[in-house]
Amino acid sequence: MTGRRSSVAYPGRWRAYLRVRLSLRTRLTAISVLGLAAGLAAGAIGLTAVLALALERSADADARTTADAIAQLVAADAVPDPLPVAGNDVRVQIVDERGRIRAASIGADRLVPMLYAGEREELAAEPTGAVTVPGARLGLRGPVRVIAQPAGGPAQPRTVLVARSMADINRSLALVRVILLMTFPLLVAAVTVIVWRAVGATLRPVEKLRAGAAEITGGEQAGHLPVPGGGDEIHRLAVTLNDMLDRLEAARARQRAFVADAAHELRSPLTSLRTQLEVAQRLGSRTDWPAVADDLLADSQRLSRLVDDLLLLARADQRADQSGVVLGPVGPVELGELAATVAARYPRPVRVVPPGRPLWIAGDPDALVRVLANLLDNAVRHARSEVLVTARPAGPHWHELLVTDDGPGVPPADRQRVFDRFTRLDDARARDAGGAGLGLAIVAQLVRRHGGTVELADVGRAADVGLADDAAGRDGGAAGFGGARTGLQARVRLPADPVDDEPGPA
Amino acid sequence: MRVLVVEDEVRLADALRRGLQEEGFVVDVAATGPAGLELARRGGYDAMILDVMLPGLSGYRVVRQLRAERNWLPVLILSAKDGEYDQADGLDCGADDYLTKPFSYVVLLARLRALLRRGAPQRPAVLTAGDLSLDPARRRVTRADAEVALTAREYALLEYLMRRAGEVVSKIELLDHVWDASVDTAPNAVEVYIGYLRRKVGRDRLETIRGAGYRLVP
Repeated sequence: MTGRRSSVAYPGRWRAYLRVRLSLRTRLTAISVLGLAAGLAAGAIGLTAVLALALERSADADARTTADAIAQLVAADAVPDPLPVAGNDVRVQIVDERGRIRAASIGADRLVPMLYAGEREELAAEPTGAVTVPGARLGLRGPVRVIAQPAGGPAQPRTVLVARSMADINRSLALVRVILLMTFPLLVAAVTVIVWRAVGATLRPVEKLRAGAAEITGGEQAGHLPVPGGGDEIHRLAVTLNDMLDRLEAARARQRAFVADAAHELRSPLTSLRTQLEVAQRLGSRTDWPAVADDLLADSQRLSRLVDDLLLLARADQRADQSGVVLGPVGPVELGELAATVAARYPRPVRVVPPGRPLWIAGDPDALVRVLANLLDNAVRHARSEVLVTARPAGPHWHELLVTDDGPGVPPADRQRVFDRFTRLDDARARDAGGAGLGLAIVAQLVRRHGGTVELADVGRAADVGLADDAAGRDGGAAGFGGARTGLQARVRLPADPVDDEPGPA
Repeated sequence: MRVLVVEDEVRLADALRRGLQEEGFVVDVAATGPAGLELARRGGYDAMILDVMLPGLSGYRVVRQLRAERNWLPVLILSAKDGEYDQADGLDCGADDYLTKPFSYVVLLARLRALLRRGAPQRPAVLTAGDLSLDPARRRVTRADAEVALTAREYALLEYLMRRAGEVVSKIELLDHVWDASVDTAPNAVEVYIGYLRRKVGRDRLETIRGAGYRLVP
C-alpha cells in the first residue's frame, strides 16, 4: 500500500536530504549546539525541580519546628493565646478531636480549622506529611502548605496545625526560572558562534586541500597539495596524498618515456618501408618488384615484431614491482625439454647440453620459450661458429639456463645496460638491422616475473665465470669454446619448482 | 654528382642508393660512422646524406670532426630524432640541412638539389679571426680563450664584421645590417661602437680604411 511504502522511504529521504544539503561545518555545529542545548535544558529543569523540593523541605522543616515548640507548650499546658509565631506568613491553630479551635495565632481564623476534616484525617494517617491548600482559604497569597502535629495526651488530644505560605518560595523559583530562560538562549547563541568558528578553523586546511586538489590537472606540471602544519590527521592525509601523487606522476613519466621511445623506434622500419616504396614508384617499370617485395616484407615483419614486443612490454609494465607475477597461465615446465624444443628451430647448429635429471620450474611455457628464443636469436646472430644451450641445477632452490656463443663479448660496463629498453650498444654486437633493442628487455621482464634473474658473463676463460661443479661439466659444457678468445654467456636463473623436483645427487 | 650515403639500415640505404642512381647520381654507401668519416675525408663527394644513430661514431660527431678538419662537404642529416634540440644540435654542429624520418623521398631529392646549389664554400659554424672566436649558437665571444663581454649591439656589429672578415665594409652597410632602420640613429653611432669594440677585441683587429669603411683583420 502506498501509504506504508512512502512512510518507510521518508526517513531515508530526509536523512539523505540533510546529508546532502548541509555542510560538515553546519552539521558539526548543529550537533554540538543541540547536544549542549539539550544538556543545559535538562540541567535547568533538574535544577529548578531540586530547588523547589529543597525549599519545600526547608519550609516544612521550619513548620515542623514551630509545631514541635507549640506541642511542647500544649504538653506543659502553657499555651499562650494568641499563639506566638514568627513571620506573618505562618498561621498556627490548635484543634481538638472535634475540630474546635482551642488556640490560634494572630491572623488565624478562630472559628474554622485550616484543614477540612478529611484533610485532617489524611494527615492523621500520615503524620509526617503535608497538605497544600489554596491560600484564599486562609487569606494568604499563593498556595499554603499545612502540617499537622499531634499534641497533648490521650485525655486531651490536640492537633497543632501550622500553615506556611509558599508565596515567597514560589517567587524565588519563578525568578530562577526567568533568569535561566533569559540566559539559556544567549548561552546557546554564544556557543553556536564559538563552535562554528572553531569547526571552521579546523576545516580550513581541508578546504585548502580541496582547492589544491582542484588545481591539479594532471597536465605537464606535477602538482602537490598544500600540507598544513602540525602532526594531526589532516597533515598526515595531505602527506599521504602527496606521496600518492608522486607515485602516479612516476608511473605517468614511465609511460610517457615508453611511448616516446616506442614511437621513435617505430620510425625506423616505417621510414625504410616508405622510402623503398617511393623509390620503387619513381623507378616505375624498371623496379625489380620481387626484390622490393622481399625487402618490404622483411621490414613489415620487423615492424610487426616490434609492435608485438612493445605490447608485451606495455602489458608487463603495469606494476613497478613485477617480480613473481607471471602474466600467462602457469604450468610445470621442464628445462631440458624447453631447451631441446627451442634449439631445434634454428638452422645453424645449436648444441644442447641436457641436464642429468629433469629440471622442473613453474612458469608460463610461452613466456619461457620467448626468453630462450630471444637469447638464442642474439647468440646465433653474433656467434662466430657455435652456440651452446645448457640446462643445469644451481643449488637446492634454483635451476639455470645458459646460452653461450663465441661471438664478441659485451664490455662489463654495459652488461647491465643491455637489458634496458631500446638500448643498443655502440659496437658490432648490438647494432644490426634486426634488433630494436627490446629483445633483452623482454627477457629481463619475463624472467623477473618468474622470480628469476638473468645476467651476462664472458666465457673463454672459465675462471672469469665462476662456474660450479655439476654434471653438465665445469664450464657448462663450454669446453668446445676453449679455442675461442671471446664469447658471451647469458645466464638465466629460475626458482626450482619444489613439488616436482626430485632430491638426489645432481 | 657524387653522393655519400651514411646509413646503417641496410634496406633503407639500398633504396636510397637505387633511387639516387636513378636520378643520375653516383652513390657510395657507408654503414658505420668511422667508415663514413673515412670516405668523406678521401674527398670527391659533392654531398653527404648522414644518419645520426650510427655504430662506432654518431652522425653529429662525424660532422663536427669534418668541420674541425675544415672539410666543407655539404651535409644533409637524416634522423628519426625530431626533437627541437636534436635538430638544433645537428645544424649547429655544422650540418647544412636536417630532415626527420620518416621523410618524403621527393622532398629529400629537392633538398639535396638545394644543397648542391649552395655549393661548398668555407662556412664554419664558429667564426674565428686570429685568437678571436665568435660562436653564434651560444652567442659567446672569446679572445685567447677568455670570454669577452659584449652588449647586444656590439655583438651584432662584431658578428657582421667577422662574417665579412677581410672585406672592407662601409658605414652605410653597417648601419643597414646592424642597426634598425625604423629607429633614429645618431650619425656617429657606427664610429662610437667601433670604438667600443676596439677597446674590447683589440685595436689592431679592426682597421679603418679612410673614405671606404672598416675591415676586420682575419
